[in-house]
Amino acid sequence: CQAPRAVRLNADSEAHQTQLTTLQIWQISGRILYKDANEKHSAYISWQQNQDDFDMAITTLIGTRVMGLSQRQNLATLTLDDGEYQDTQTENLLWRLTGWHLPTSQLPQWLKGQFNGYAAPSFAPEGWLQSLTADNWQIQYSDYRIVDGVVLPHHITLIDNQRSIKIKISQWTLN
Amino acid sequence: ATPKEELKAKLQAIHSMQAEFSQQVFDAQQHLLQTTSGHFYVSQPNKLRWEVTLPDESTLIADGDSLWLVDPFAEQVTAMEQAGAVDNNPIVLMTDPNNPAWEQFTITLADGGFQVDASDEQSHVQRLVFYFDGALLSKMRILDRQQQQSELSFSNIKVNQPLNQQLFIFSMPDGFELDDQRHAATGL
Repeated sequence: CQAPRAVRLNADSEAHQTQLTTLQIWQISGRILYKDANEKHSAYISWQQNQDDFDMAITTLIGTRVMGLSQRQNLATLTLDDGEYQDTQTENLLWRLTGWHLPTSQLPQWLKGQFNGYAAPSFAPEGWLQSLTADNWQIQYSDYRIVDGVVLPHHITLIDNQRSIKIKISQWTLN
Repeated sequence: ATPKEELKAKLQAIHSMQAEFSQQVFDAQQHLLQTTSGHFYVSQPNKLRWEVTLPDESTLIADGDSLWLVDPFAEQVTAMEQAGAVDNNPIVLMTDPNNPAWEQFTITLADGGFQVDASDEQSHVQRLVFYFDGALLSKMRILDRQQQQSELSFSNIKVNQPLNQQLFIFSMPDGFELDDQRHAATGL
């Protein structure tokens, strides 16, 4: 893969990115809209992050579960109504079995508005991430609010050439 | 009376119901995943309106023939046959205690409520539990096949008072897309 881009950050962005990296245990709940050429899925999403492990749940509008996806070290597990499936990596597992292509290996950072060296970020005047281009995803951030002293995004759109994903976060919980 | 007869009698006595609800959704490990709240309306037979207002709007309307799921976030409405929806949505059954579909469920008394278990372990919703406070339906619990559980608690409950029937009539919001899953429409 390419070498990390040299990215010039001003003090606010630097401080914000550093603060986000220290945020290792958190949870969000909100809505997700996944659209590609032939499918449109609208549901609730909850994401519980604990260091490198996460649990994602996709839930119907009446509260029943569509699917669950979890990562524990190098074990990825997808649960659907008809069973449980495993792989080493969540992204491929999810794509193979549901056709959903979610950048689940990057979302632990991207959901917070954090980026790594291989991305091309642009920042809001206040210093937080406004948009990001990474691994052929175009990501837009908005509706930043302060949650327990940390500025976090509540509206994220991720677009690649075949699909668009809209995430509206109603609740951030930080531990 | 068997638990099934008792539950049917209690549901039959609720010709109409209006309440506020709060719903908490827990995963199989009892972690709270999300909380929603809004308004809940039932009108016998076969009419129901489940209106989520917080943190995000969505409305489920059962008008007797079709189930309409109105989703402003997606600017989309999903239409389903009401009859066929019982498997994924047995909540609709509460609006029709005489519906033969009740035979697909075994009903027992458990934990102070009426536990309605789907006999087909393939069905999406595995268990519903109805809790009554006298004649009032005070709480409902939904358990699905992946052991996710949600609890609907009702408050400000009004039973057998006239309800505006407009509540159960669906009209297409302009600019929304219709995902019509009704067999008749798709000619399946």
